Amino acid sequence: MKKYVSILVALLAAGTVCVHAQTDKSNFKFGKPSKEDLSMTSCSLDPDADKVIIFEHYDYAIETSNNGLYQKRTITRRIKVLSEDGVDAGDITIDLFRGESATSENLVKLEAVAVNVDENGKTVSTQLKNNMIFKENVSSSLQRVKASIPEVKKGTVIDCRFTISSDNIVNIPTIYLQHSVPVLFSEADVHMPDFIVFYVDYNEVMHPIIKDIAYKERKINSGGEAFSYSERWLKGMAVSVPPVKKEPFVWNISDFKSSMSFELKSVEYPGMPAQSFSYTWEDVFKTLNDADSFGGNLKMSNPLKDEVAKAVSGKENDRDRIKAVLDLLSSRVTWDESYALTSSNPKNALKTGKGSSADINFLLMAMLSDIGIKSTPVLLNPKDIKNFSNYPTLKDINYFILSVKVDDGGIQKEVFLDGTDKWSSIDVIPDRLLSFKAIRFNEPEPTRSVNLSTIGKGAENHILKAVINDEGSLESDFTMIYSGLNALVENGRVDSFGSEDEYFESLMDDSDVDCLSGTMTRERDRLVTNLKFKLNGERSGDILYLKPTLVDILQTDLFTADRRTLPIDLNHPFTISFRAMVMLGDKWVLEGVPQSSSFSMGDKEIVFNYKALKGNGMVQIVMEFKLNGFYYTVDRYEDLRNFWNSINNVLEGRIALKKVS
Amino acid sequence: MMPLLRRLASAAVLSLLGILSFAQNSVILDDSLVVTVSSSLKMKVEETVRIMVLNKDGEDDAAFMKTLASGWSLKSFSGRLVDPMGKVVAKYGLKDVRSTQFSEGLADDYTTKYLVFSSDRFPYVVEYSYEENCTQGFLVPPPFAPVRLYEQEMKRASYTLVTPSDYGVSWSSFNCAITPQTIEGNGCVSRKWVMPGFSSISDGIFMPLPEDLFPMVCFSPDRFSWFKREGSLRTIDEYGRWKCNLIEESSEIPAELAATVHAIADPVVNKRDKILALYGYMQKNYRYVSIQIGIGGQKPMSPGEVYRNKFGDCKALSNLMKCMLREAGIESCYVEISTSRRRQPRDIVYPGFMDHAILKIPDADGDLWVECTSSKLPLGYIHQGLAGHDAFVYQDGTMHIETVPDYSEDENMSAGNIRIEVKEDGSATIVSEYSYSGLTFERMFPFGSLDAAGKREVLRDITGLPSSEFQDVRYDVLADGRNSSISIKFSSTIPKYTSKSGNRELIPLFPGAVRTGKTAFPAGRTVPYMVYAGNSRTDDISVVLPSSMRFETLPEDISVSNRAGSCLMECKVTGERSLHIHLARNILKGDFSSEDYPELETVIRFYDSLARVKLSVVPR
Repeated sequence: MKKYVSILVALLAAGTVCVHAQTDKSNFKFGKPSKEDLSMTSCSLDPDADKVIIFEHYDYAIETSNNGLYQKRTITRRIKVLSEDGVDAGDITIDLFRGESATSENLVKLEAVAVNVDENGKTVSTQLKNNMIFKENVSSSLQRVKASIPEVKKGTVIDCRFTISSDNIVNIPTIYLQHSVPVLFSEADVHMPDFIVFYVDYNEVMHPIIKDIAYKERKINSGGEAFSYSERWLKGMAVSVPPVKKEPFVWNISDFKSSMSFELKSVEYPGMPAQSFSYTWEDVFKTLNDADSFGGNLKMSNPLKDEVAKAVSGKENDRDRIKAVLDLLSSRVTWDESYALTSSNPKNALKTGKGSSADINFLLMAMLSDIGIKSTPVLLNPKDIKNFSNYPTLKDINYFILSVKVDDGGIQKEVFLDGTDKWSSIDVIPDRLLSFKAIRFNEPEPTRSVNLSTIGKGAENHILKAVINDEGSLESDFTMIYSGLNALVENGRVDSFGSEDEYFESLMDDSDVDCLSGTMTRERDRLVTNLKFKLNGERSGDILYLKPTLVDILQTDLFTADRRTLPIDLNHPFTISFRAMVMLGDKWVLEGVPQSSSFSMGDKEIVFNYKALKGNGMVQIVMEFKLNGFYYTVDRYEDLRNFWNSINNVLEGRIALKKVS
Repeated sequence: MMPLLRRLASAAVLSLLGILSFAQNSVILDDSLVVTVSSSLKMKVEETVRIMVLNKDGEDDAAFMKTLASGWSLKSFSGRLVDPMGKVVAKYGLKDVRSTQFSEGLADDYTTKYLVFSSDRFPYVVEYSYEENCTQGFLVPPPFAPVRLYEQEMKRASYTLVTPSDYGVSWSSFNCAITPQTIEGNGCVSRKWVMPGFSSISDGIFMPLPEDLFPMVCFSPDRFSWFKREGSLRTIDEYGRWKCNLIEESSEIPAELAATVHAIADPVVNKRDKILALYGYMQKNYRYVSIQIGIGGQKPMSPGEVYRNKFGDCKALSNLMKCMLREAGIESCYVEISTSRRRQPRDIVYPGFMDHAILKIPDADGDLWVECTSSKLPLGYIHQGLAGHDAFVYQDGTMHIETVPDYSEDENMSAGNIRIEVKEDGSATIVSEYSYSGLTFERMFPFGSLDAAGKREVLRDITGLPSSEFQDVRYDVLADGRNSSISIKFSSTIPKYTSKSGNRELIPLFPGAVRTGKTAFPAGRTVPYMVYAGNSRTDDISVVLPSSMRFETLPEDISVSNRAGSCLMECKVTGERSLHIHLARNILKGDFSSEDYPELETVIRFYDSLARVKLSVVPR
């Protein structure tokens, strides 16, 4: 404990804390805020904050009783309302899981008090009343308790404490020591008997957690017999924690919050054989192999035997046969947008026409197996759910895709498949699945782990041919070819519109353009669209100005924020190539073009080239954009911003044409 | 993309059913609602619906969703989903209907029953029937409005209302001139309204309000019972009395609050200042929390309880303000209003659309309409959910309908005053001041509450300069009731403001002008258009060049004016290196025919084209 305090003192001395005398566990008294708490008007951790968590304490324990083990969680918070916008801190919401009686959570106690200073400088406390606590059955598995604390206004200090109990000792919720508002002091005490062993994962990406561990002897009576055990006391503490706020190009903000998460490893009751849960990846594999809902499905026969045979008939190579199977699967089942690792009966999805990710990929596996293509599950967590934990665990695996070896010109090459997106293809799977870490099922080290983020690539090739008419309009023929992951994304975008026409209109959502007609050809990893349109340009007297790429090709306002706190994930590498040829006719002459430009960032992580050339009665434009690196740490943000500014400078230029009088 | 053969097959099924248009999401094939009222306490609602879902967007149209108030229950439900070939794909019963008590506020006593029918093979038909019962009284049942959405066609619909012979009702129909067939017998009166078919209406911009488009029938009972409080909707006076009694029951002010009111108001002489002081006290000390339980759905929480809690819903806070004003000797009226619907029926008394409460304070200097749930809005500011809406005003033990004042085009004003000083290196210093009033004030008013990053985003949006930095950002709110305004001042330095083309430098003039975009004006519009909030915008821009540059060409003075509005740009040279440009746009409010739509497009396109104007300058 001494060490614990000394670290805190060191941090305080380092001047990293808010200008505020620290409220911590030793001096926190419920409903009795300090003078400093009451007089606080702003927080240096976030000068714009409308509220600040002054003190937060998580007291989690697995307790013993005559009925066995149960989990008890008490959370205490002191919040200061700094502005009128922060009064929502007075509205409490507590979600309780409802299920079988053994897994249901119960709210044992809820108390809250608002403390204000009246005009005479006197402290006034107002308690939360029971008649302002309400319960809502949101669904069969979720009950929400809501309460509103009286007398909450700018300047109020709110103390709130609640306790939840549950007989479920397996799932201990993650403790977040960092939030979307600043936290001055946050601490967690987790008590558990030493015969129940948990892995504890400390996420300290954004802010450090001060950790400690202690042991204490406990005695209980169970079934008339007294026995003693050692209690493990885990501590985590974070001081002066800045808020984590939403930023673009982040899949899941919770991945970055300082937190402690728990995974049950084993239960080793005294005098009984140890019951192991997940320990090694081999244990995880065994658990899955033994489960009918996973291992059982790996042996499932193909329910669409005849149809698969017909679909692959005449297809010579593995790639064509796989695509034919994906086509068939997509035509029979659509994804219900739920992530699942297991399935009680994947064949049900064929009856309803809808299924989870597990239903669909088990079916895909069975269909491939039937034509002699062996596939293996690759376990992962989609990027929008959570990063993989640092230890082997089933808790954080919510998904699997398939690894398949295909014959690639005589060489066996591993490729990855997923059946949930109807436009996915071989190595073309949705960005959310391009996880940095995935686990090949049943695979030993050292080839067990795979980084899926490196498999995805995309490309766009745009070709525009235009003839300028006497009035200065460009009669244009524009072909856009998307391939790889860019085809997957763009095909999905097309589907999000009510019709192809609406999609075309969205492409030409610009007053300069009158769209005449559009066509498209869609395949699994390719989308070709052709648009015919009239481009009007900007006129000033007898001068006509055209954008450097005639139409908008690159999104230029991606990095406008001044600062960045979270890494930037641009999903996957891709290239965009744009070529245009404008025939000038005899009424227009070229007056000027933007300067040719070529620049790159880092070791060609991003490359941009632009060139506009005067030709024989024509202007030729070439633009290339290559995104080779797609993941950037915060310290690279300024580089990215500057790079995009350089692109903007080029794209702000104009091609000038003058009318021949 | 549906494979061609499947598209053709689907088209064949659709053509057999006489549905050839693809520009819609669903078709109500039949909707039959029967409401049987036994007494002011008991009502039975039976509905049978057949709806064809044509695409993914139509899935929600076919979902079953019923929000049941306290005393209502869903007695039975049966449904099925039929595929394009007529095969029953799935059947559903009461046990399949899901239930949630989810509420956005602190608490209410509503339960929502719902079921989503889903298939990916279009078109499919959803059929369902249900019965819901009310046993503990009602105010008004929900209106019968089978078509609620754009892109939805209706083939057939009927509404039958059965009441005891001695149970009087009044009714009204909207957007369909229909009268009921009436049959009397066995001590009952049955009235049946058969709605004519309704063609799908495509969604778009400047759409008329749904209340002016979709057919609807609603009725009001002469006798009703709401949580054991009997009342009548036969006349406006009778309903007014009932409601005023409820409000009056919640009018006792605690002594402590009364003392506070006097302490605040008594030292102030002027009536308007007293109101302002009490409004400020309420804004500072009370917060909005929604509670709708039992009689509390209609009756405001007592001032005593609000005082103790320091929170309340719109009814509670409006009533609190009313009681405080009364204590200070100022009379005011409790007001109910619909924040979504502008017009209320005038031929029957129908409170079923009301969803909000405010206060009206009659005053010789102009009546004040007071929103009591905002901790920040200036006293008397009329926001978008109120402006131009009909309101039930409760006064002197009765009720009357008034329309809350709306804003004219000139009042919905945004104005920019911008000075652009271009430097030799192509950078520019821009000093800007923008002001917003009328409904545009409401849009910009939250600026003051934003954090630094949020403010920056707004300024980038205003200026159309995504990469710029802003300095000396200041904002001032002029709190003056409906004439409130906000001005935002700032300067910015743009490292690369001009763009080069050969030896020319191009200077953007109006990068912040909002462009409407191409999709806003699909060709061949047949639906009338409506401008709910006409508005004016002016920009006065001064441009100063460095000594090494001169203007090559100057923009011409141009203007357009038609039935939809007007737009103009005037350019005046003010010096050897400076000029001033005045840009003005006015969009007129009101209802317009579809023939006028191209005129609106002309004005907006004209403005869009001005937004792209760049000044061309060359070396001197």
